[in-house]
Parts: sequence; structure tokens; C-alpha cells
Amino acid sequence: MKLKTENLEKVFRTELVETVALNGVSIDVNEGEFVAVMGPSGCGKSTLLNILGLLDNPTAGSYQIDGVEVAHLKEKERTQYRRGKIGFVFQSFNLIEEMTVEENIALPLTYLKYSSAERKKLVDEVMMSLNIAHRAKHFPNQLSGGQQQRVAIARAVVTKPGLILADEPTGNLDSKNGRDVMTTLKALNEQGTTIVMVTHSQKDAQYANRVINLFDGLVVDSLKDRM
Amino acid sequence: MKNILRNFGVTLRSYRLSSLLNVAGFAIALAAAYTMFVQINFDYCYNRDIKDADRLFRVEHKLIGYEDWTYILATPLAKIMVTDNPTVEGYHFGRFQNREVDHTFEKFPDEPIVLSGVELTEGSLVAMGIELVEGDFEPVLKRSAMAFSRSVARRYNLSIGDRVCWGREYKASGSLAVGAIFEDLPANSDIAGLEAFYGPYYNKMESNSWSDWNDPLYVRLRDKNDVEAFLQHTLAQILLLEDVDRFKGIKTLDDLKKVVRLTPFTETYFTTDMRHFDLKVGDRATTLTMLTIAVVTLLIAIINFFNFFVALIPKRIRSINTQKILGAQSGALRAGVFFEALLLLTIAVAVALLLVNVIEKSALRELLSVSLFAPENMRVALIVVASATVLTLLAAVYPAWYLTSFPPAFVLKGSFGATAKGRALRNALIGVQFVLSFVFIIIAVFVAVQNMFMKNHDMGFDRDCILQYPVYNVYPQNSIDSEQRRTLRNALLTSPYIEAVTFSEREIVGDTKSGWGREWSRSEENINFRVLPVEPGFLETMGIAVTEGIEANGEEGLFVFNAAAKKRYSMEIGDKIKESREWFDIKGFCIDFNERSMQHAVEPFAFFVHPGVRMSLCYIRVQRGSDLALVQQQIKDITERLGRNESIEYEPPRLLDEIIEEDFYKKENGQMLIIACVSAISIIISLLGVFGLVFFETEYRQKEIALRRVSGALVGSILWLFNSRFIKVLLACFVIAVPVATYFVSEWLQEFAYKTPLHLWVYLLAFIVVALLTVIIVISSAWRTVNRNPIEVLNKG
Repeated sequence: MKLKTENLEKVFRTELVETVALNGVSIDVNEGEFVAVMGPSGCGKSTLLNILGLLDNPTAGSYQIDGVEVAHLKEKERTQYRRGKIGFVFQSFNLIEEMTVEENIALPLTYLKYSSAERKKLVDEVMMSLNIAHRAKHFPNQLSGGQQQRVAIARAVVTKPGLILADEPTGNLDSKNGRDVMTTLKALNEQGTTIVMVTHSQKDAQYANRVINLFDGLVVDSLKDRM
Repeated sequence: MKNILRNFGVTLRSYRLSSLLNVAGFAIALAAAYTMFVQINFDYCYNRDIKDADRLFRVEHKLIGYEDWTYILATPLAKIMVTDNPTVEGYHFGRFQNREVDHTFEKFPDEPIVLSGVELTEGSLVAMGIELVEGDFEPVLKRSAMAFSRSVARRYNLSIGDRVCWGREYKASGSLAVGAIFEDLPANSDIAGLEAFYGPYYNKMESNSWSDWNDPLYVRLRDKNDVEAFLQHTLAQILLLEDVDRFKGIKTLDDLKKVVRLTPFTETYFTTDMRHFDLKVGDRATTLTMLTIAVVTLLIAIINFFNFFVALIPKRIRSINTQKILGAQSGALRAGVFFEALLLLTIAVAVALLLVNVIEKSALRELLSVSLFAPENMRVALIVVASATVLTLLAAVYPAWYLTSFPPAFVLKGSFGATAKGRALRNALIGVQFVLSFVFIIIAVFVAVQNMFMKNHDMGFDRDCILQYPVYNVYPQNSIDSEQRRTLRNALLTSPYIEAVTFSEREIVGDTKSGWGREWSRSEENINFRVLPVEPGFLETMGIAVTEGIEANGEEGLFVFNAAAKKRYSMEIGDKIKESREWFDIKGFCIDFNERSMQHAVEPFAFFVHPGVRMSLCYIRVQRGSDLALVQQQIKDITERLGRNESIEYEPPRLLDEIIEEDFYKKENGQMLIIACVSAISIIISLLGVFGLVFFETEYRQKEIALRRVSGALVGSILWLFNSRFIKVLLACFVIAVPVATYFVSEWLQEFAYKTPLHLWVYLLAFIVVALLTVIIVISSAWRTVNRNPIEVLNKG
């Protein structure tokens, strides 16, 4: 999946204050690329990721996915576009605590109207590949942080999306689990999945092909082939 | 749909406690509301299912100088009203009360069947809208055949022409044919349950005696607006009756309306300004109270339902928005919330059904006029479920919209807590519940206090040691002369526990006494008073203090008036009252004792002490502290020795205390039970709501609680933090509830001539009860979270 933004702006307004989160961000992400977005807190990394993931619209500017302009889609259209094509991995996992591991992983498939047999097959496959099959019937609070993040990754990839957006995926993990998660993401990237990852960690950024540095809502540099 | 069902399953599983409390509160409220609506429906629909009920009227009459109306008319009056009256389509002159009659059919000669039957005329059939199913009424009206209801015909497989006779033995010679089968009469009416009709034994209208007062008159008018015309006709006839004293003052239609009125048959159930004898009557105020209570109960439950849904928002918002990110549409998620609400309602309805079943089998059923499962209640059930559905969907609108209204990224990034606005809204709603709880408790306690006040009030006679015993236990005549009384008295006095025996014509307590308008020696105008003929020595035996003069005078008759009569008419000893063309002296005055329930003030009353009057009730004074069961057994033995009247079932003597408790205050006891139940329900539901809210709030604020504890806060101070919020809400609610409850209590107390003061302690008690329960609930629901190891909570992040 190929992404392209031009002069993206995002302004948050309240009654008292106006906050510019993105101030003309132009980036390209090629198909199969692994891009890390870095920068200090409040520089707009997560805002950029939300817009790239069609969770939010920019205030101004252009955003194209595979050449299609998606910057100003309505919420319903964004949901339909996102469904099955973009996977998300969050720092705090965002697993649904009331669902078992396999139910969590299967969730995106239910919105794509897969039959239960198909869902089971795909979920089993992804659980096997991420080595969490033995935890299928467990609930998130019965898993370690690393296992929870592997479940979150499994949920993100079960629909075989073209793009994975990861927001500080190792932020809540110890170094070993963090390394495992990054290895998994890298493997997915090597299979052709485009990945955009927001991170504070230079170590994690080393897994990316390129690092985009943001500061005060602006791209300050874009360094390729760090590995 | 699968997703929605799965989500619902997950919600039930994950929020077991809240779901359980929510369903429990809603189910209790639904069951209570349904029960009350069934009774309300019965009350409001009474007599309305009779064909063209709006054209059917009961004629009511008031004697000049009397306060109360009566629907028992003198036969000549009934006759002039209906004879040649062009407005009358049909009339029924007679009572409808069930008369149990033995019937034996040729088909089942060995199985006599008891059916409730009544004699009808052709006019009765028209008046009461009785519909023929099969056969012909004509031979029935000529008394050569009988008519039976459709359900009786079906039950016993009856056909036109079958033979039947009255009595417990089939005799072909005395048998009649089944001449007609009529449609079953409406169950919710004065004519309910009548299963057999016969032609009239004699023409009641033939009597010309103005002292022939036995029956009510029901008229079906050709048009419901013909009431004035009916009365005009009546007036014209009355003006011809110059010789009848009671109509002397009636010259115009307005004069007539003061003493004659037509009450629509659909309204007779709620008529309160008359004695009802044997008909069912309701109380419009009670029905309205129940309606209010039913609606309020549903309101309390729906507030709870809403509060639970809103309280769950912070807990659910992350999962809802995660689903949004993964591709769920907002509309579908909202529909899911509505569907969850409806499924919860469905479960609540099912549980409510079980509760209704429990109520049907409990003592509460005694308070209802109809079975909760009667087919006619289907409409009520549908209305209750439909109302609950609408309220449920309304309650789900806000949570459904709010849960899906955020950009998902915003919710997922940070921790979402309850907003201040949301909390204020929930506090306000909990406040409504608390106000209603306070109001109900205050009313319930005042009803109980008033009941106790009435029951313990000194009525002016010794009700705790006097037994009432009907003489028909021994004598079939129902009333007995002085010789028979002497025999019975002597027999009863053989018991060592019986101190004295006396007799009266009717009950000492109750509404059945006669009202007399009599001439007296000091005025040309009649005076009115209630009267009880008694035998000499009655007052002394009953413990009614004579304040002036005497009460017994051997074989002559005399009057003893109460203080109220003395005061109103300025009576003196030696004044005379005319009774049956004879003048009798007022020989004494007694205290103002209460011969009716405490709703009524004491009115002018007289004992007509005369040994020659036939008496029907015996009053037996027993030694205080006697074994009552033993005395009752002795009286029964004495009855057997004297020769018990075998034609009726033996009626054991009853203590006056017991009669007063059961007969006087049945309605009040019922009201007290209903209000107590509703108060308990409202408090339970409100506290369920408080429990749920505190439980969720402590869950959301567990990090804050942990930080407070790490900073040195004691468990007690954190519990106070939660309690103080609810105490503030409680105080505000109490301030609102006190005037509201006081208004309703004062209105209710207007019914009583003797009323309890508005005690301050009742209000304080209500506050303490609700506050105490709330504190207990808050502590129990917050306890687990507050006592959790703070380090574990903080490390968990």
C-alpha cells in the first residue's frame, strides 16, 4: 500500500485555545516500506498516524492511498475504506478485555463478513504463526504484556492488510518482549506489508527502512535505510 | 445480528453484577407496576363491558334531612319513575347479588349443581343488555323454562329442551325445560357470575306500600342524554302525589335533583356518598394513588436502567471504539446498544413474570379484585410491556449516542474517565429516586401511624372483652323476643367466664344502623339521628358511660342520646321522641363513643332502649384475661345444648376488637400494605442504583484511590469521600421530599375525623433509614476497591 501526504495540517480548536498538531506535513511511504516516525512528545506523531490510519481527517492538505484521495472522507466512508486494509497496533494493546484471545483476533474478520469457518481457519493460522495458539481461550488479563501485544499484532494482521500502523508498539513492554514484537513486525514487513511505526525508541527505529523526524508539526528530516 | 448477540453475551458476562442489578430492579418494578395496573384496569373498566353501558343508570334517592344517598327505592317511587316514561327503554327492579340455587338436571339426576341465579323480567333483559345465544326468552319469562349462560351450557353439555328442576333431587313433575342460553355476562361488573335466569315469581311493581323498600332500580334510557327528561317525567308524577309526606317540598326539577339522581352504571363503582350494602365498590382516590405509584415505580426503574447504562460508558468506551477502528459502523454499534437494552428488558420481563406468579400465590393477591393471570389482563400486560419498551429505548438513546460520539483515536490514546457532566446527570437522576423513596417512606410510616392511632384509640366501650354472637346460631328467625333472650342469656351465664349478656337489634359498630328522622317534643321539625334499638342494661354491659340520667327502666321504652345529640339539639332529660305513633322519654345521656370507624366524626346517636323490640345480636361480656378459645368453645357447647340452628353454618362469637380490626380497617390495612411494598421496592431499586454507581466509580477511580492511600489516606477517609457525595445528595433530596410528602399525607388524613399529628420523628426516621442504607451500600460496594493493595494498582498502570 502506497501513502502520500501533501501539506497536511491538523488544528485542534477549543473555546480558549487553538493547537496546531500538524503544520504542512508532506511524506511518501512506498509499498512494502517500513517507516519509523520519531520526535519529542507533542510533535504530532500520533496525530499523523491517526490521519494515516483514517481515524481522523486533516484540517487541510491532501492524503492519498494508492493514488486515491482520502483526506476528506466522511466517517462512514473512512470506516469502509479502513476495514480489512489497515491494521493497528497500539502501545496499550487495546484488546477488548471481555473477549478471549481468539475472539479479539477474529473481530476484524466479523466486520468483513467472513464465515465462522473461514474466521476460525485464519485465526488459527495467525495464532500459530505468532505462537499464541495455546492462549486461544484466555482473556487478555491472563496474558503477559508481550503476549498481549502479540495478540494485538495478530488482530492487526489477520485480515492480511496492506498497511500496519503501530503506535509505540513496545512502549509497555520489557526489552525482550519488545525485541520479539519488533522482530515480528519486521518479518511482516519482509512479507510485503507496509508499516508505519511511531516510536521514541532509537533501537526500535533501527528496524525501519526510513525514519521521519517530526518537530512542532513539521517534518524536519527523513533518513533512509538506517539498517 | 450475530455480532450484536455476541456483544450482548460478552456484556452480560463481563458486567455480571451490573446486569444482574439492572435486571433485578427492572423486573421488580415491572412486576409491581403490572400488579397495580391490573387493579387499576379492573377499577376503571368496572361495568363498562356491559352492552351500551353508557345508557344504563342506577336510580338513587335521598330522604330529606339525610346526608347519605341510597339506591334502595320504595316500590311506588320506582313504579312512577318507569311507568309510561318514554325515555325508558327497559328497567330492572331488583338486586343482582349472587343467589346460590340448587339445580338438578335430568341428565345428571344424582349430581345437583349449585348455580348463581336471579329472577328477571323482560325489561331486565333489555336493561342489562343480555344477549340470547340460542332458544327463546319468552317461556323463561313465563316461568315455564329456565335460561343458562353459555359457559354453563358448555360445561354441562346442555341443549334447548333438556329438563331441569330446582332443588337437590330431580323430579320430572316439577321440572322445566332449558328454554334459552345467553351470552356470558361481563366478568368485571355487578352482574358478573350470574349463570341462570328465571322468570319473575311475582310482579314486584304491584306493591303500593311506601314502606316496601327492598330493591334498586336500574334503567336503560333510549338516549344517554335523556336524564333530564327522565327526571321531568318523575317530577310530573311526584306532583300528583299530594298525600305522600316525603315529597311535600318538591315543586321543581331542582328540588327533585336534590333527592333523586341517576348515576351512570359505569360510575357506580366509584360512588362514595352512599351505603353500598352488597355491591362491589372502589375508591377513586385509591385507584388514582395506585396509578401514580405504578407510573412512579416504572420511572424509578427506568432511571436505574439509564444510570447503569451511563455508568458503564467509561468501562465500555474503549472496547466500542476499538471495534470502530477495526471496522464497525457507528450506526451498527448504536443499534447494538439499543438491542442490548431490549434484551435486558426481555430478561427483566421474564423474571417479572415469575415474580407476578409469586404475587398471585401470596397474601398480596387478597388485595386484588382479579387474578393477575385473568385473560382480560392481556391488554394490561401489553400496555405495560409496550410502555417499558418505549422507556427502555429512550433510556438507551443517550448512552448509545455518547458511546460512539468520540473520535476513536482520542478514546484509545488516553484513559477515559467519567465526565463531570455525566456524573452530575447521574447524581440528579439518583436524586429523583431518593426524593421518591423519601416520599414513599414518609407516607408509608404515616399510614402505619394513623392505623395504629385509630386501632388504639379509646372508642368509648370495652371492645377488648366483649364477644358479638348472632342469635341465628340458635334461632332460625334471625331475631328473638325477650323470652328467647332470657333463655339464651341464662344458658350463656352458666359459663364461669361470662360476666354479662345483652342484646341489640344490629351491630354496635359499623354502618348498618338505621338513620331516623323523628318528631320530638320541643320542635315541629323532625330531628335526625342514628339509632340502635337495644335491651335494658346494654350500655352498662358494653361499658358505655352514662353521664346523665338512667339507661334502664324496666318494661317501658326510653331513649338515651349521646353528648353530640344533646349538644346539637340542646336536649334535656324529659324531652320526648315519637316512635311508631308513641312518645318515648329521653331518660339519659351517654358519652360520645365511636360506633363507626375513625374516619367518621361522632354524630347524634341514640339507644332506643326497649325490651319489646326483637333483637338479632347478642353481646357477651367475658372476664378480662379469660382464655378466649375456651370461652368460645363453651359458647359453642351451650349452643349445641340449646339446639343449634342446623340450616346455617355455625358462626363463632368474635371479639369486638377483632371485628373492628378486620371489618373497619381492611381498606386501610390494604393501603398500608401497598404503600409499604412500593416504598420497599422504590428503596431497593434506588439502592441497587447507588450500589452500581459506587461500584463503577470506585473502579474508575482506583488509580486515584491508590495514590491517595500511598499519600497517607486511611481507608475510612476514602470511604467518607464516596459517602459524603451521597449524603449531600440525600440532604438535598430530603429537603425537596419533606413538603411533597407532607402535602400528600395531609390530603390523605383529610379522610379521617380523628387524625394523628404530623410527628417530626417520622421525617427523621425516613432520613435515617435511607441514609443508613445508603452508607451501608456505599461502603459495601467500594470496600473491595478501596482495600486493594495500592502498589499493585499503580504498577498495573
